[in-house]
Amino acid sequence: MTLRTTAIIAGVLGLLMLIAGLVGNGVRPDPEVVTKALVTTPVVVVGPEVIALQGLDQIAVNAKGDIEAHTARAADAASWLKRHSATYVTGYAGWDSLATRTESRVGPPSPSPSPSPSPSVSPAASPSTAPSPAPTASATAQPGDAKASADYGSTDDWRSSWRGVNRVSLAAGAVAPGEVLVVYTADGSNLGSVEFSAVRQANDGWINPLIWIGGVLALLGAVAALSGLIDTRPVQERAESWLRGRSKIGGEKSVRPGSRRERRLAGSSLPDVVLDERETPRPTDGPIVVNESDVDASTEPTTDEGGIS
Amino acid sequence: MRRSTLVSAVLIAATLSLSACAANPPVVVATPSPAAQAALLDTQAKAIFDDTFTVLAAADKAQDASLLDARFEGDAVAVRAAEYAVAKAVSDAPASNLPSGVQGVYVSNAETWPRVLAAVSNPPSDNLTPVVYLWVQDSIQSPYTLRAWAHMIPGATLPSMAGSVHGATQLPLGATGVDPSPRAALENYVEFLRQGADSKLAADFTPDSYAKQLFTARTALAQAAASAGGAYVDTIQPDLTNTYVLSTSDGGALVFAPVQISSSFSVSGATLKVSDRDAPLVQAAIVDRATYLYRDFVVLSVPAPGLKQIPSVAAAEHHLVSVTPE
Repeated sequence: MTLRTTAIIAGVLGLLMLIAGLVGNGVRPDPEVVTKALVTTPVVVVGPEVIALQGLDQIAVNAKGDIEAHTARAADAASWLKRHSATYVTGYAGWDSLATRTESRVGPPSPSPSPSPSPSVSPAASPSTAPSPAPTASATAQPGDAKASADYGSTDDWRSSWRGVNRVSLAAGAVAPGEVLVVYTADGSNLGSVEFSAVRQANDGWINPLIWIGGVLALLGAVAALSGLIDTRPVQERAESWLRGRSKIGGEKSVRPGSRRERRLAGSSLPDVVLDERETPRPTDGPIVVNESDVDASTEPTTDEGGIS
Repeated sequence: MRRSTLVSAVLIAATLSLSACAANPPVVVATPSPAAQAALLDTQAKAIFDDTFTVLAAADKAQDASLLDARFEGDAVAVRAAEYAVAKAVSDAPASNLPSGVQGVYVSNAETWPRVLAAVSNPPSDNLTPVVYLWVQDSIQSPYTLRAWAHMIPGATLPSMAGSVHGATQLPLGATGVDPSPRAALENYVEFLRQGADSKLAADFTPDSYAKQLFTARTALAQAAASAGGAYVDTIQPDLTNTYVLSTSDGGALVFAPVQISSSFSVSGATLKVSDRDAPLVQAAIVDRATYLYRDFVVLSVPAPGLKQIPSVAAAEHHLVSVTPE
């Protein structure tokens, strides 16, 4: 298998990776998602287990008019809700919708407390009972009736409160763990919708690397494939000519006189031996002086011969 | 044709598989437990205090007990109305000073009703002891209303209570975790008040100034009535329906008990004259017999078992609300 074939195979794989990455990028979900549910009751309840859902960021409720949102202990909220029709948000049905459950309270008791079964018999027994602001409430009590549940009673048991006009929005983290969120319209009319804003955890960390790696491999394969289709011999010839020319840069004209290169180009570098015509000196008692020019280069002593001689 | 179909199938499968990489919506796993189990947080209790004393200030300014309805109920309204009546008629008898600053808050952790909230005020002045307040909430729909108050007994101490995180457990009157039970302690104390200082039950309670003053007044009034050929009778009844008990942090109990006292004073062959201070509370003409109606409030501390202590009165106050000729 030639290098070109290997590159082409890698390019094909890279192309598939690139396509997969691009497809994944195209269907990549938006990390921030808002899920909505319509509400047809005056009260919406979000339990602590729903508020604690992973990724849930904001909870918002829309309606016409003033809206109040409160938190309470679960037991307190359950007791309060015995008198009010409410929509309970139980979680996500999908990213497009919320799961809800509606409980209607038809004919809730009068908002005013009546501790005695016959309060009219002994009016002095309850001298300070709260006034009854809606005497016809029991007669007109229907889920979503504005006047039937407009009196929500004491607010002492609400732990945290938010208020808004037409919309109230709060961070899920603002609700203490274990507390129930109760949202209602101030006038008792039906709420419009409830929204959950969440940060969606998408497993998309592989998309960008796949696109980049696939792109590089595809490009490499494309180059290899194109190289098989194009006649590169003229280019090769030009390249070889260039290399040859590169080796002749300067020529002999650029050799400096006396340089090593000049001597190398000139050939043998045997030294010239100049012999004097005088007699060979005799052995004497004095030192023997050997001129450098007197030594034959071929007999120049080397250390390989066992020492200096 | 077959090749294009295959390619399309591969693309669809790839798209579906890639789409599956988006995480599913989170699902409910478990309900987190609340950090604070008390019925009221500190902020809620403070809001109730603030609202109560705002209402009280408005009523005090107008000296009109009907303005108390939003945050006062029961004996508290009757007692304050009597104070307003006296204050209007007697220049040097203003309504009692109820400090709004509190130094201790006792919160119930009950999940049913009625629930109680108690507080101890700062000392109103150098010569007055702190005031113990009791609020009660009858249902989720009704607000906490102030039901009674009483100054602490000099030298008395209130046991430590669970904080606002856990809250104090509301005990039934017949709770058996303490000895005597709250009901027995209260009934014995009331019987002690009926019998007087010489009662054998006196040894069962730490001596307190409330009982001492009651006995002193009884002795003096009985002598005065006897000298006029009449009689003086105290009738004392605990209001068990409106009595509440909170557990203390050491396992004891704190009993908040309204007590109704009727003190009947009669003479023979003479006409009674009611004092200027009590005159505004007279409901009808007094001749030879007058009955003074009191709505007292007693806070009884029952020690935890094993402490080798006896019950004591932590706070108590004698509130005159009316005088009738019966």
